Amino acid sequence: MFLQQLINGVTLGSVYGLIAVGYALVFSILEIINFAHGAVFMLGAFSGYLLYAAGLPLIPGLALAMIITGFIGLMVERVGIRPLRMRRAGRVSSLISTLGMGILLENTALLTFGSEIRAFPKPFKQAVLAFGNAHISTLEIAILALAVVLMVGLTLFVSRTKIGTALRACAQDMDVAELMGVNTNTIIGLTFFVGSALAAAGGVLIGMNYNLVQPAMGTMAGIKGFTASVLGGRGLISGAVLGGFVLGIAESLGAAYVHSGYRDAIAFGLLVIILIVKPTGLLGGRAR
Amino acid sequence: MRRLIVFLLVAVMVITVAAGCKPKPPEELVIAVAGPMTGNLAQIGTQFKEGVELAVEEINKAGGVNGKKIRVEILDDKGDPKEAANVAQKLASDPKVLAVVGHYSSSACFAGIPIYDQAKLTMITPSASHPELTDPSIYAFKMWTSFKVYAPKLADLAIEEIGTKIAVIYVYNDWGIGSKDAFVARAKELGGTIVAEERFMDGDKDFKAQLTKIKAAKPDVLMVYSYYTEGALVIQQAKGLGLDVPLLGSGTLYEREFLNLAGAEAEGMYIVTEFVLDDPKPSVKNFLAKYQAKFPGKQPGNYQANSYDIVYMLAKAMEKGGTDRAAIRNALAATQGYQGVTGEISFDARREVVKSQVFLKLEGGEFKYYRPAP
Repeated sequence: MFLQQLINGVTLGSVYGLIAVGYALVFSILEIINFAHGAVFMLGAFSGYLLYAAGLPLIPGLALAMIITGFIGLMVERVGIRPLRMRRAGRVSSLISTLGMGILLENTALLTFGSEIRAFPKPFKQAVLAFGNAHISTLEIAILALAVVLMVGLTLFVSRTKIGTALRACAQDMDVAELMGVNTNTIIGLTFFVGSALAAAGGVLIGMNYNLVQPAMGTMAGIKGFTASVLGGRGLISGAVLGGFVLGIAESLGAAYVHSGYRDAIAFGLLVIILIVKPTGLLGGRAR
Repeated sequence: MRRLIVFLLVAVMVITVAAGCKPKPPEELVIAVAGPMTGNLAQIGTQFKEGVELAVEEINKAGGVNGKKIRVEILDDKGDPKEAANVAQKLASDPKVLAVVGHYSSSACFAGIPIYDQAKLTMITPSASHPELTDPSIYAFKMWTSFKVYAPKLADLAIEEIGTKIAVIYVYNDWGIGSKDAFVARAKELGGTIVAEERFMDGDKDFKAQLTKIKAAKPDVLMVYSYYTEGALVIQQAKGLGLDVPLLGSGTLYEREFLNLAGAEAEGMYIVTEFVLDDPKPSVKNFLAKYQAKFPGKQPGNYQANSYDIVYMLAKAMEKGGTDRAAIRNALAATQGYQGVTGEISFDARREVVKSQVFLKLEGGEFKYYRPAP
């Protein structure tokens, strides 16, 4: 049973990680929490739903959903954040603006799709593999593999490419980066695009796993992703990934061995404890 | 110039006052529908509305109640007790509203009942089934038999036909806990063993932790007390974990949406309910025909049928009680042996409905009549 709970936790955690990375990317550059991220995640799930319903196969559908949602993220930045930044408004204003963008996106989805739950189309046949007493479905393996590939890809992109270097430069000091010839507007847009695309992947995978999409699905997922990113260390991609896995596993084991009614309490309780013991998060360095 | 303005203003006033003196429109009787019209449970609110609107349309076509037409007012409580209290406040303070059809969950009803009672407004829920629902009240009615009556029936079915090692998973709220307790008590009485009891929160999406524990307990049968979204997820995830045992479900799963989400995985599931479409009774056939004439391509469920019966009983009560809220309540409470779509309906001294139940079995993607539930 322990193995099974671990499998459950790791799959859940890989999706939390995908969502958390989006928070970390934006935080690393703008030092704000993007509260529209949960709604972007939900729109990602809906894009996937519409594309698969239209008959696209697994990978093209996922890729297209990620691109569409990336542009939605770009729009959030353009409409909700850039105008404020140009007027040199404070970080609090931008943060509140992301809350507003989140509400706008969620209600747009409510108006467009209606509030009811829709069954997610299944783009591939699922089978269940048994390892002794533990079961893992091909879908769960796919989720885990895709999540790992995307997270490794992102890490390589940030550490090995020229744009990645520019991104890290912006995270260190935006003004100096701009003096060195980095187009900061493009880089900020890029973080929103990439973060939203990964959230879309998370949304599509969650939709497939639970076989449903609904406009309200972003709220809790957003909170969990945010928790994971804070747990691992704000603004750190590796921290967000680790935070996601820790959160997923803690929830599953907590529900199994402590009490099933308290799974969210366990997840958030863990966050409180870690923040008390190590306020910068699991991988965070000294506070700046 | 100033004179002209004064003259014009006076003229406007006179015209407005005169317009206000038009003959009054014929008095109408207002029945409110309160339920989740948006959100997770939006389908339920729509079902209340459909049942009520169908009955009201028929009654109004036949001349109304004592010559007065019924008007339906629809309010959205989002299935949330906090919103239900707001809705109740709004309805209670509107003297035109004579009765309320709603709310959905026992928790939402509990939030509304004290407010309705104070305003002497009859509330009749087509769905909530908490056994103590009507106890703190004088004006609350219940159209769904208490889960103390029907929850134990599935325990009988499980032990007679399936096996004695029983696992239960239930939503952690008034209804879930109450149903689970009644079911567990009866199962133990019949010599069954409860090998696992797991709970979850309304709105949860991942149940694998609980289901893994249940699987480790090796039950013969799994009882699911849940609303349809979570119920569908529970069953899909159970199958995904290789927990392949016969299933029992609460009447809340008797929903089209549930079949869309988990019809294939839930094959063979038994539920207990009060109204089935393939019931051979003529009253049911007749209702089905009328419903499908108004809502082509759709199928009515329990809540449409209950709401439909409720409106007819309210209309009878209004015939006697007129527009007096207290008199309507007394007339409705006196209902005995009303022949409705959902069977022969009476109210006991606690304003709880008395009628019979049936078992259904999910076969070939549809819930089919299985046998009466004695």
